[in-house]
Amino acid sequence: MRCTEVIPVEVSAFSMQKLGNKPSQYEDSYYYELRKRKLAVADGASESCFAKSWADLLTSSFVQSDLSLFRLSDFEVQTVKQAFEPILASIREEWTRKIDWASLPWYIEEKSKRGAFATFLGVEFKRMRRKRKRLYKWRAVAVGDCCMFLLDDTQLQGSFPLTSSSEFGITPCLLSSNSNISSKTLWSIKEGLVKVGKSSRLVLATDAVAKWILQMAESGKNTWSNAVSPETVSRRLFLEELVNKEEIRNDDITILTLGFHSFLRQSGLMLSFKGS
Amino acid sequence: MFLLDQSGSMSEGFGAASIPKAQGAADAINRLLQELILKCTKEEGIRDYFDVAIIGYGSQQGYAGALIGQKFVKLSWLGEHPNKIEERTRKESDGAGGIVENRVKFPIWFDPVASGDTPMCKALELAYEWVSEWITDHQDAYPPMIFNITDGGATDADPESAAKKIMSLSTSDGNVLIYNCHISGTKGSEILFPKSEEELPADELARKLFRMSSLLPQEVINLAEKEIAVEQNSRGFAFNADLVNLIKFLNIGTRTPELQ
Repeated sequence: MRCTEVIPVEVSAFSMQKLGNKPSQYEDSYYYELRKRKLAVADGASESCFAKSWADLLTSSFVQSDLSLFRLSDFEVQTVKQAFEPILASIREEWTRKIDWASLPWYIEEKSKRGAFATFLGVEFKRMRRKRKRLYKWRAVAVGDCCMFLLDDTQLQGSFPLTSSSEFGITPCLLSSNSNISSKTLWSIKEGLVKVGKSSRLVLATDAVAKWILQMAESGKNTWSNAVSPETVSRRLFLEELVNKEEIRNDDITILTLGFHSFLRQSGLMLSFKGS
Repeated sequence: MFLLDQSGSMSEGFGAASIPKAQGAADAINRLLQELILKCTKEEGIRDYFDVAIIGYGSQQGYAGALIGQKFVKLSWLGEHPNKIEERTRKESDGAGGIVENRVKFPIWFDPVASGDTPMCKALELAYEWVSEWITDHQDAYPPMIFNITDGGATDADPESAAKKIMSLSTSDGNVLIYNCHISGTKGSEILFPKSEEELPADELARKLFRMSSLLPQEVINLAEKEIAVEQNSRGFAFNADLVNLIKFLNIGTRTPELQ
């Protein structure tokens, strides 16, 4: 029997609502399809109505669409922005259509007319060919302060789009369901490579936990690895304790972890996922 | 808490506008209430992040009292009980460099009233009493904010000491804040969040109200300084200008951009 090295790609998803809130008040969103090789997280802005619906549309439409960050004519901000325009136009209509405007009291109607807002981070990855098969290439696009972290052998190798905990605030750039205020939106893009290995991971996280990860890394503490590792038992309890100790801001938390393992097996690429 | 001057002097015109001060004051309080309610509105309804009290003074000789039949009400109650809702048009950016006119709903809680004298000190004493009671039950809350909308001419005494007495009240999160919205007949440019009396016209009423206004809290400055001119010593005072910005810069969560 002939054994070949295969590289399963595994996603683990974790989410919890702000402590004290009901699960229905969770306004982050995540979505992924491994066959599309795309993942996304979004964070609905608390000061807007129907923000969860908008965040869901952003993540699912990016992943499900035919848009490929690898097939663009170039990987420049303007090109990426243009590529997103038809998707945004379509989901703005869908977001508006989903609301039963006639039934709304004046305050929800007026607030909703101002639009829903969310930060967004989308990532696409692909395996390199031939001699570089032990590498995956990734491309990421972000608006606001959802962050992606690159982990290699438990070391934090980098982050995107924010690189310092001091960059977080309460006025991140946002994508709006209202096209009248989208022109000020700042987009960030980045690409890179990740090596296949037991602990090679890309981690996507919404702002509260992302800020904490950077704070821990900046102070040389590696406790952040417990938050991003799917193997951590009772990750919810671990994070709740950090929120109760005010080490993490009390906010919705979402973490998507994409792992690239390596072992010998009989057949080809395996895709799997875990949810929690 | 909102203090609304409804005295007879409010029938005069203000600033460069030809409309009466009472209309300016009614617009100011209606807009402040609307903005506060919209700030706390989610798709399931209004979140009661604030209790609201409204004291009117004037309207009849020596009167100062509740304008909504009770001391404090939940914000959601106020949102559900405007006196009427008008439809107005608002000019907004179309996102492509142009302007469009959109129809918006504008709730009205208070119509213009201009009658009687200006017992501002009596209103401030009542405010002191109500705020003291509220703090007893909410000692760790964000400190109460008092928005006083007036043309400034108190007729019962000098209101400065009464205002200072209120500002000495505190919760564990800081001192009570007084913001004054001066609807003045004195001609001059709109002035918002000045840091010294010298920035104001030679109008003793304006300068007195400036001295009766709290310094803007640091968290408000941090949020506001990216968008408007505020500095460390800026005070919560508006001269013929709009105080709605103070509502926009209250921190209850991730802020969203405004329509232009």
